[in-house]
Amino acid sequence: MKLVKDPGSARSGFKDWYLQRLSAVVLAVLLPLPLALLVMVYTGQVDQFGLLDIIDHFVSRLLHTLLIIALIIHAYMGLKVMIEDYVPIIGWRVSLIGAMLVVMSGFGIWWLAIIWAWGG
Amino acid sequence: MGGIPTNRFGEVVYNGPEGERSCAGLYAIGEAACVSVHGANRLGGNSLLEIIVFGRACGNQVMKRLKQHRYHPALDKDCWQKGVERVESWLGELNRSGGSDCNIANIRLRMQTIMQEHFSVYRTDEVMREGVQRLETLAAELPEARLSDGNRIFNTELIEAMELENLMSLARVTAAGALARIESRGAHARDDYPDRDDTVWMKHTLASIRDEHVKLDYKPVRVRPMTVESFPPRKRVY
Amino acid sequence: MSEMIALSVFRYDPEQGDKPAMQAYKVPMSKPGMKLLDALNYIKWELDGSLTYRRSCGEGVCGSDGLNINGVNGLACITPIAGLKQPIHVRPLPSMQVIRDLVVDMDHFFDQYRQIQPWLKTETPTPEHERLQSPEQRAELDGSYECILCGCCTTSCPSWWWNGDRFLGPAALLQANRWIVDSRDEAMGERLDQLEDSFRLYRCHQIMNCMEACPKELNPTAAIDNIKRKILARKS
Repeated sequence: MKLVKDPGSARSGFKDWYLQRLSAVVLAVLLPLPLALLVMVYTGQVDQFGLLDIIDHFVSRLLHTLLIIALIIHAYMGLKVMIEDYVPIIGWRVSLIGAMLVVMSGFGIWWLAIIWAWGG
Repeated sequence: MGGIPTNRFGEVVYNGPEGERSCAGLYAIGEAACVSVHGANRLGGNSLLEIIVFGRACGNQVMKRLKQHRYHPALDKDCWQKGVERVESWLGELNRSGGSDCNIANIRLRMQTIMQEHFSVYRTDEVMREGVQRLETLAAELPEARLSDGNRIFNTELIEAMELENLMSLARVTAAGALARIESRGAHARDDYPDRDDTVWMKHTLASIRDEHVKLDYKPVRVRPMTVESFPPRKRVY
Repeated sequence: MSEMIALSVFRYDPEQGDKPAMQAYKVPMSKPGMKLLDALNYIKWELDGSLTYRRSCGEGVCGSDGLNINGVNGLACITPIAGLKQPIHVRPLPSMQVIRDLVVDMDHFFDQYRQIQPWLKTETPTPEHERLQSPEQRAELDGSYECILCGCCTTSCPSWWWNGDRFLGPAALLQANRWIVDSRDEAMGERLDQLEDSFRLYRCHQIMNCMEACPKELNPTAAIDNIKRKILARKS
């Protein structure tokens, strides 16, 4: 029998899984909304000013913020798993995940700044 | 229907000059053992009894012995040689030509066929006598058998060969024991002696192979329970 | 002349150390309902004694002869020749270290099984008689106890291919769940603690290869899902 030095459980992992599920639910609810808006613009039901009115509305901004956060969390969790799967060297793994975190949060802050800058 | 004779603690017993002695530190349980509760016959299955009663008793006995004998006694310096020699004798001479007469599978198939034809459910003296002869002839061929695989890593043909040696010994003692037992008992159903004969044959067969010959001996069945009265054996009816 | 079956079998001889190669064999169809193991036995006993594979009971109970058959994991002893496209490609279980021919090193697989501590753990004193179960409690174990640890599911799991060193794999997790749902076991919390790990448990992404591969038609994915639910239940 081979002697195995088992590091045991890290007692974590639930949070990742839970956040991914939770963000998936948020995305499932919120993602159709901008698409519906897009369809309405193309079909001519909403013109440019109407569109701006809708987007500018406080509730829209709130939902938009929620959508961006959920999107980033979901993408981060998914890509993290993929990096863990395909990058076997721990140093590379941590660096890549770190870089991804910086890029994604930068993107999120930039987007949120745009949303809340409107009309402000 | 047979097994390694043990006492009620699962310790293997043998007949020494001063009668039955147990072999310290050697145990047999389950399919391998014969505690002799079921008499000379084990038809109907005693696996539950073996697990629940004797498996536990044996475990307790092992613990008890380990408490008294913490360490293994010193081994004979050359004790490994027999085992290595057995393996080396197989690996030493290989069958390069690939002829099928002396390969393991062929001899095993012939052994199985003999046992099936001559020692199946209903037996007669004539059929078994012929079977013993055929089996002894075949067993004499076994040393001629050769492996075709000389690899030393995970050689399953070598395992099959050593298993065949064991199976052949078992087949020989089974056949000889069956031929000698002139009665019907349990799965040993003879057309020429259809009845059970408790006056002569209520005893275990002890078989051994010495100098290439099967030797048969007998020992009585334990029929006296320790705390209750024994009830006399009766004819088994269905 | 009876019908011949064409096989292509993975061969690797560790003593020679050459590259593994596929070797072609032709085996007669000896009986209706012939299984793949019968063909392998024919090769070993009649054609080539050096072909190496594990076998024991020959009827899908012991789990020794898990192989990759035409790209799908299964037990050779219960896979009928009739349904297989020829030549039948027989390979060792994927992602495992090959010891020789079709024999793979199962040490790590069984070590992962040991890691889930597959035995009854209790706190309450041993009762005078057995620890009893109602028929309903016993029924909870259906779909878990049938597992024979052949390794077909675990070696078909892509997550285990990538992270087999840490992800426990479907077989071990199915067994973990077997003890979690057992009404007599009193260490559920401890077991969940041991499993709550982003690699050990959460590497399962419901790919469901395990369910497809299982020769006993069990569903390890559902078992893993149940463990996740149990952890969710104690967190929320």
